[in-house]
Amino acid sequence: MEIIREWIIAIVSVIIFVTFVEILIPNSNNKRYINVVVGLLIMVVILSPLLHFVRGDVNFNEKILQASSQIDYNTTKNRLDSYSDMHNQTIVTLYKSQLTEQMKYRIENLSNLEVVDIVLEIEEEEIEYLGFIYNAEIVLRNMNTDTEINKDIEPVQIDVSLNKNINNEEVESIWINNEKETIKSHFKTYFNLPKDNVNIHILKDK
Amino acid sequence: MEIFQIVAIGLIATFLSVLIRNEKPEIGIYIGLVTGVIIFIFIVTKLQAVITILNQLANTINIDDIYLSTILKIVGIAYIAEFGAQVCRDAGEGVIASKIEFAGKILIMVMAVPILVSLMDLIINIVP
Repeated sequence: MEIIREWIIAIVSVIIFVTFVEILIPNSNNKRYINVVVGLLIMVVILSPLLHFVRGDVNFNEKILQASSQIDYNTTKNRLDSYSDMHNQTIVTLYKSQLTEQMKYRIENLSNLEVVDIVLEIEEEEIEYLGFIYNAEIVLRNMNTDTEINKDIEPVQIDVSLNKNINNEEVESIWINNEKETIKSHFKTYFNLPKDNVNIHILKDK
Repeated sequence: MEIFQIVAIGLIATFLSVLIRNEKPEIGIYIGLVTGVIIFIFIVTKLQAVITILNQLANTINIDDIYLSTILKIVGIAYIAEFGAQVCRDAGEGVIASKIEFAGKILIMVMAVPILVSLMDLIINIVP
């Protein structure tokens, strides 16, 4: 009899409490969601004494705390993962930009070519090989001052063959090809980048 | 009575806002924002007192404290989200206001999950 009395008191008190809370709820879209939660609470209050009849004493606090700590754990884990991803992304971006700057500086010191663009393909996922350079696409163009000087220079024919008949070909791209080779070997030494993985494109002046 | 003070603050702010609106509409927005904050601070102490009494009432009922404290937390979240959304809406930022309301909804649902889990557990245990 005592249990039924307590049960009725609990239900009535909760309904009074909920009525009071409903006055406090602001008139917004959230009202519907709060009503759902309040409905769940009333169901818990009505049903919990039945469980005491069926199963004896069951501690619900522990389960609620377990559920809320699981939510907190998952939230923190997701945040940490997202921070870690952002951190890695920032490191890769910074590394790429520093590497590009360094390559640009080296190319411009090594040759009379101006760097238009450098596209690098590097390892971004695996931690063990993070930052390893796979491929480099380099776009260059002749510096303006040099082209002006070159206009005045006559093409030179060099006699390097014994046979006079095939010795009259003009070769214009020897200088550029040498530059490419020099840059490639330099990159192989400094960045451990195989020559085949460096593609150099030189834009022609208009 | 506090209601006179609150209404007086509201009326003065409205009067100033209407006066300034044609000259400098952005100051009208600031007046609205500041008035909202003042009224909210004014009333939040009273609300705090009511919530304390509700908490005491909840402690006398033979129900786990965690349920009622969750409900009170949800009411708090709803109030703060509503206040933030209204301030943004007054400033003409309806998109930000709806985002605040969305965040409020999600947080309310997160708070409700333990109660839902508990109810499910209860039902599963009752059914033989």
